[in-house]
Amino acid sequence: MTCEWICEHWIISSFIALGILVIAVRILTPRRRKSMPDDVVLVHSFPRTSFAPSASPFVLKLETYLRMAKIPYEIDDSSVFGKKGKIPWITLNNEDIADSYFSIEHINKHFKVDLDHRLTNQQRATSRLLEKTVEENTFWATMVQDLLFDHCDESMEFQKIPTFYRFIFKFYLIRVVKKYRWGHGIGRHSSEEIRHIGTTDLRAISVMLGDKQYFMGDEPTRVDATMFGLLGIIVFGLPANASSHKLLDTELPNLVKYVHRMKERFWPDWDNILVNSDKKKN
Amino acid sequence: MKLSFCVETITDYCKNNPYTAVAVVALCTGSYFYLRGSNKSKSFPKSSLAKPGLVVVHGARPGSVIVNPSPYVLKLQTFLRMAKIDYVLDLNNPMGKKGKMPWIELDGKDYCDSTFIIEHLTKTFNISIDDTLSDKQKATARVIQKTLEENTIWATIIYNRFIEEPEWFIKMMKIPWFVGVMFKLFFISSVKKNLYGHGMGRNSPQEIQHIARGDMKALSDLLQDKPFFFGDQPSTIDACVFSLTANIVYGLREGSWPSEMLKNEFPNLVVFTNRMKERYWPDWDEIITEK
Repeated sequence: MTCEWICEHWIISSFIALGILVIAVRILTPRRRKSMPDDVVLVHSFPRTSFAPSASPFVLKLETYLRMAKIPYEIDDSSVFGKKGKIPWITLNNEDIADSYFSIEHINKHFKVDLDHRLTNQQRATSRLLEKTVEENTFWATMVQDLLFDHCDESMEFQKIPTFYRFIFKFYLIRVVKKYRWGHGIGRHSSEEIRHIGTTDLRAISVMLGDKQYFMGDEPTRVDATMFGLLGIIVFGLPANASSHKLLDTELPNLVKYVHRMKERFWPDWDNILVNSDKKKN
Repeated sequence: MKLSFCVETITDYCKNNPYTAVAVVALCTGSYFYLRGSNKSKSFPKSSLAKPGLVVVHGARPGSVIVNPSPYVLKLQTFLRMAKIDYVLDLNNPMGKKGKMPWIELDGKDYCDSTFIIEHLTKTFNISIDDTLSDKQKATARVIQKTLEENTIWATIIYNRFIEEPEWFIKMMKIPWFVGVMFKLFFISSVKKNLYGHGMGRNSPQEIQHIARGDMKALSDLLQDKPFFFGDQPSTIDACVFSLTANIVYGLREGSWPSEMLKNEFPNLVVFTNRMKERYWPDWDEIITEK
């Protein structure tokens, strides 16, 4: 009788089913209120992957920054999105802060950290401009373009994304990202134009690094966390023939060497962190 | 069995109410195509102002206090004046194929996006204004430009002009009240969506001001007391920075927070703006008072 009612009133039934699904998702994925010691940062992110500590350049940036500043942290990999609908976000002493940029600002204030204290005002300015360029432009034109659009199937294969998630990527995530890209503006260009934007950015970034060890000199500073976040994902998270990875390998070797330098310095446990890695040490 | 029951119910309904069924399908299909938008390139009629070798710039018209309220159009126009390339502003079809301004017509072809246009014109007309820049300076110019255009503009001009104080903009541009209603209803709602897609729209007003301050401080610290960003002569990046700072100083309400922030905290950027305005826009007052 219930089934007959559902079939007769299929429109109302669909809405009720959708409502139940949304409520179930919200109930089953609550924000984790893990009890944390004082002054230990809880970073909310995606689960570890087989190619990098995180699939997100912003999570990799934040974790690298915490390691650079020697601030203790733990990972909550429940993939619950923060109040701005994005990952990463942090919890510190029971306070939630969304967005990697504001998280770092908060961390700096709380722990009285300034990785840029040796920089002149001009160097800080250059550092800021590099960071914003990478996060607001280069990220879209390189990693997003390669991963979700130009080299989608190969990238998902390379990242060993399970079949079910590949389905969600293709039929949901890509549509959502297309809307975001349209709003951003970069999505209005052709793939070729977007690749040109990415290429020009990466070349400029390579010139900014030059033959220095780190972007601002001999010691790493805040901007290196951001640069490693994106460049690390390009080098380790995209297949070799993806446009941005190929460009780094063929024309911008100083950036590849830089990535490995940062990885060795701040991620000596990289192989142990990766999931199901063949290189996992015993 | 249950699925076939549903299918049977739907087909019975359609047989009994054919007109309703057709109307629902037509409405859904029409809405889908309308919301998706057309993928075909829009084509516009050639401008009546076109001449061989003349750049026809399509974009916004001048406002009552600023020669162009669009930083991207102002950047392009300032570049054209800097490079001494003949151009004319055509107010027809201000939005190009990508739904943005500016776009240009040159010798029968059209080009979109101010950055791509400037790259193309630099090559076509052999413009040498950036030739004295070192590779490091050109790379620095790139990161300045991308920060301004992909971050600072959203936090200052787009946010303050269209979200916080749209009435001031409507009055400044002398938009009739009934058009202003449509403007607020349609254009501003699409700006809100764009802001959200970009990411800036997810921040609180205080966070947005914090971001804007950080960007402007970086610009101010890089410029210091130099006349232009690289050397004694202006280059393309100066046109880019000017287009943003002029729109903050002149294109937003005096007393608005971006305007006050720039004037009170980063006065060297205001001095730079006026230097560029005097050099490349001696006809500024004439343009803004022209009908």
